[in-house]
Amino acid sequence: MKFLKRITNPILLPYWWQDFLLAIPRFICGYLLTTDFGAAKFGLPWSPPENNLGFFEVAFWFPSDVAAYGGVFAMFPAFFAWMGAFSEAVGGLFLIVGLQTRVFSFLITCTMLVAIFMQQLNQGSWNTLPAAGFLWVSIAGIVLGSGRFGIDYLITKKANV
Amino acid sequence: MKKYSVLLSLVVLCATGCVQKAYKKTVVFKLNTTNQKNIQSVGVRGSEKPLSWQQDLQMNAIKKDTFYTATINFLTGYNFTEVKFAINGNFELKEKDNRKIVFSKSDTTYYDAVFDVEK
Repeated sequence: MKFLKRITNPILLPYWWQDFLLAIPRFICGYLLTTDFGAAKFGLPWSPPENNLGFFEVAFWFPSDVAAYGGVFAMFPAFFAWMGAFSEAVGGLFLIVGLQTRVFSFLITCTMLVAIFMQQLNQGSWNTLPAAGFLWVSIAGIVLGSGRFGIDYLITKKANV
Repeated sequence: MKKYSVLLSLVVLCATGCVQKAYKKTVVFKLNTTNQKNIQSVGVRGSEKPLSWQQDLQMNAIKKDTFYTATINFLTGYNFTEVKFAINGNFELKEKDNRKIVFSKSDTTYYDAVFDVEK
C-alpha cells in the first residue's frame, strides 16, 4: 500500500504554470497514442471499425512483426505485442487523465525503447524521432508523475492532508 | 504476493489469448486498360502481403492492352485492403488516395476497375 502511494504521489514543481507546461506534451502524446498509434493496433471503442478489432485485441500482424526482433521477442511474440499495443492505447488514455502516471509512463518507456532499438534505428536516426518524442515525455512522467494536472494529484492530495 | 500472482496470470492470459484472428480472403482483380498505350507490364501493388508498395505483382492479360486480371489471397484480420495499379512500373492515381477494397462477407471479393479512374 505504501509503495502504491509512493508511485502515485506526484512531485509538484514550485509554480502551477510549470506543472501546466509539462502537462501539455503529456496530454498531446497521450492523445496521439490512444487515438492513433495505439488504437490502430489495439481494440478500443474508438479503433477504426474497418480494422475489425475486438475489445482489447491486438492486431493480427503485430505478433509476427514483434517475433522478427528475435531473442526473447521471438519466444513470446503474442505477449510482447499485446503489452506494447496495450501500453500505447490504454497508457495514452491514462497519460491524458494523469492516473497511475508513473506505471503507464514506465510501460510506454519500455515500448518506445523497443520501437527505437529493435524496429526504427536500422532505418536511420530520423526514423527514431516519433518514438523518441514519446520516450522523453514518458521519462518525465516516471520522474514527476502527473504533477498538479492529473487524477493522481487529486487522489494523493486528499491522502496527504 | 498472491494478489500479484493473480494479476500477472491475468495479464499473461490476456496477452497471449487476445490476438485478432486472421482469415483467408481472396480478391479477384479485373483491370480495364483501354485508356493506356504502349503497355509493357501491368501490376498491382498494395499494403498487405503478398502485395507490397515497392514492386508489382504481375497481372495476366485476358485480352492484351485491354483487360488484365490477378487473383490474390490475403491472410488478414482487417475488413479491407488498399491497392494501386501500375503500368510499366508507373503508379496510377498519383497524389490521390489508394483504392480501398472492402472484403465481401464471403471468401472471394471481385473488384473491377479502370486504370487511373477513381471508383
